[in-house]
Parts: sequence; structure tokens; C-alpha cells
Amino acid sequence: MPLTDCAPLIIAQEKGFFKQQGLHVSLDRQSSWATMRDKLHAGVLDAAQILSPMPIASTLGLNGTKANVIAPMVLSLNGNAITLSEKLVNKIEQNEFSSELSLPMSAGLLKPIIEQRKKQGRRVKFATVYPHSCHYYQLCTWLEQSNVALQDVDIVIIPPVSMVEALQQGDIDGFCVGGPWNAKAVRAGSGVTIATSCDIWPNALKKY
Amino acid sequence: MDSSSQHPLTILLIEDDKHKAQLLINALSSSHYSIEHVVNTGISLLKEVERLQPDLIIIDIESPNRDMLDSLHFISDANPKPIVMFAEHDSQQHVSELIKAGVSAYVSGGVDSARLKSILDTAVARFSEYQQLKKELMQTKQKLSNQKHIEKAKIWLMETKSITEQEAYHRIRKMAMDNSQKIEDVAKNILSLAQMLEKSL
Repeated sequence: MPLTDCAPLIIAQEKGFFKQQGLHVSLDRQSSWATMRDKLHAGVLDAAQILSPMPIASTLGLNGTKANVIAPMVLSLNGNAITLSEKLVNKIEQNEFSSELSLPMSAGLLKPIIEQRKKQGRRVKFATVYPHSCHYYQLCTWLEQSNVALQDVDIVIIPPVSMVEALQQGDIDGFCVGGPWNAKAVRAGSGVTIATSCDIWPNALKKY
Repeated sequence: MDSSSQHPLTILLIEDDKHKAQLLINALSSSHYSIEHVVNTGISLLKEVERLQPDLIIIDIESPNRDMLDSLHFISDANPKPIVMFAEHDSQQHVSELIKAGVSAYVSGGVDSARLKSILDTAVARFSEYQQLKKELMQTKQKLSNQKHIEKAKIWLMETKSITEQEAYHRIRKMAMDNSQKIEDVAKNILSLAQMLEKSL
């Protein structure tokens, strides 16, 4: 997948490490986790850089077919972050009478906004990458750590390439995703990264 | 959804390539299906799906939007939708391997309209069957869980109040009737009270 943490595989290819080990490897760029999973199960792909909860989901047959897969190697740790829209962060700073949030931010600071939106029949909306992903679990943990009920917010799955735009358009209030998307939102001036995965779960396995 | 139902099946076709989309639309032209072709991506696609509530979605296997559609029911309250994957780029062999691996439906580019129609009808039928089974499984699990709670609550009452099983059940049922509650909810309340008392001793 075109994410920062596919670097080890590309470097291995470009620097000839695969060849040195006598391996004939072709790297096939993917665009959907579900499709990658199906191809892996069917043997169309021999191996994949995959989200760490997915091998477990495959073995359990959750959300797709059941297949025994092996996860012989960890490719990356951490690397995710939660980024909120500039607008939301400004609102929070207003509520807290502060001009700058102390980071990492606790999800508890969302509570007054959640309440306010409830009255308007709206909800705070987050995006993430895939249901069986550390991103999703970390987002839920971050919320639960401050006793924010998951039923009080909306969580949607959208492709990472669409997240920065969705944040800019106000379609979502925040997202939990891996690099480079958090940095992109910040550079575009539309988002503020308020917590990294390390803040929520120190040294979590991100990809196999 | 069976083929004898009055209104046509709404199919949402998500395909950037106008040419490929037209081929599919031509193959599916019939009063049986009503096809909406969209090229959006991300959240705007999600909004379209919400608006149209299609009976079936056709999407390219390589589309980054597949994860979003696949996960609709998992993450939100949205109803799950049958999804048929269109695999133009993959070789025929890959597609058969994917089908063998049990993925609900794959269509290889260049398939004739008759076959395509039967694939779609099968996808929708199999999908409804699967949803029905899932629902029944959930209901059965819920029933079992309720039974367990009621049993535990009975046992606790029997031990704490030195009464018979019949008497215990009678009390739970009376509480439920008096408070217009379900028996399983009363049982759950008794169990949380029991837990609280245990902790404070």
C-alpha cells in the first residue's frame, strides 16, 4: 500500500536485498485492504504488507473468508496519529480559554462539543482506515480513556487519500491514520495532530 | 430481493472509466435493473450511497473505496449491501482463484450480459440468505445470554434468600411485571446489585 511504512519492502527491492537472498520478488501496489486480503487468501499474492489485526481477522474469518495466514515479521511499530480539524481545535481552545492546547490532547475536551451537537442532532465524526486496524482500535481507546461513549460519535471508513480533503470540507472532524496523511493535513493548514499512537498505546505493532 | 419483485433492483455502479462503465450499463440494460453511475470517491461517495440506498453495488476490485463500502455495516448502523467486484485488469485465472476463495462475486471484464445478470441475481440472493442467517445467529446468541443471566440471578436469590428455584423465578417475574420491565433486564439488575454488594463486603 502506498504508505510510509512500505519503505522496508521498497528498499529491499531497490537495494537488491531480495536478490541477495535468492528471492525473485515483484512488488504489486494495492489500493484496498479488503482486496489485498482476498488476494492473499486466494494465493494471488504470496505475501503482503498488512495491518497487524488482519492476520488474526483472517484466521477467525471475520469480515471475509477464513484463511490461515502466517505473520513471520513485524514491519513497523507505531506511526499513527489522530488529527483534528483546525476548526474543531479552535472551538476546543475557546471552550478551554486557552490559546494553545497541551498535547497529547485528551478526548475529554470533546465532551462539551459532543453535547452541543447532540442538541443540533449532529455528531462529531472521525474517519479511519479499516475496521480491523490498529488505527480504529487506537481511536476507540483514545475516546474510551476519557469515557467518551462510542455511540456518541460517528466513525467512518474512508480511503486515506480522501481524508485531508474531507477534513478541509468539514465532512469529518478528525481522523486516525498513518503517515504521511497527518503531516499532509498539518502542512495544508487544515489539521492539528493532537495525539500519536505512542501516546495511546506505546510501541504497538502496526504492520506485518 | 427476488427476481419476481415489482420494482427494479437499484444498482450503484462506481467506475471512473466512462467506457468501461458504458459497457456494463449496456450489458445490464433491462427493466430489471435501475443503474446509477457515479465517479465520486471518499466521503462524497458515502453520501451518494446513503442517498440512493442501492440494492447492490458494483465496484472495481482495485478501487480504494472498496474498504469504505465493505465496512459500512461493521462500523455504522448502515445496512450492509451486496457488493460485486469488477475485475477488468486481472487475468481470468486470478478471478477464478478469488471466486474459489469464497469472495461473494467477481465479474471479469468482457463477460456477456446474460452471465452478468445471473451473477448479480445470485449475489443478491446469496447475500440476503447470509444476512438472514446472521440475524438468526445474533438472536439465538442473545436468547442464550438472557437465559444465562436469568439462571444466575435465580441462583443468587436462592442462596441469599434461602428460597426455592420456583420461588426465585416467581419473584423475578413479579418484579418484571410490576416495573414493566423484561425478565432478562430485571435479572441483569439483580446481578449488578449482587456484584456491588460483594465488592463492598
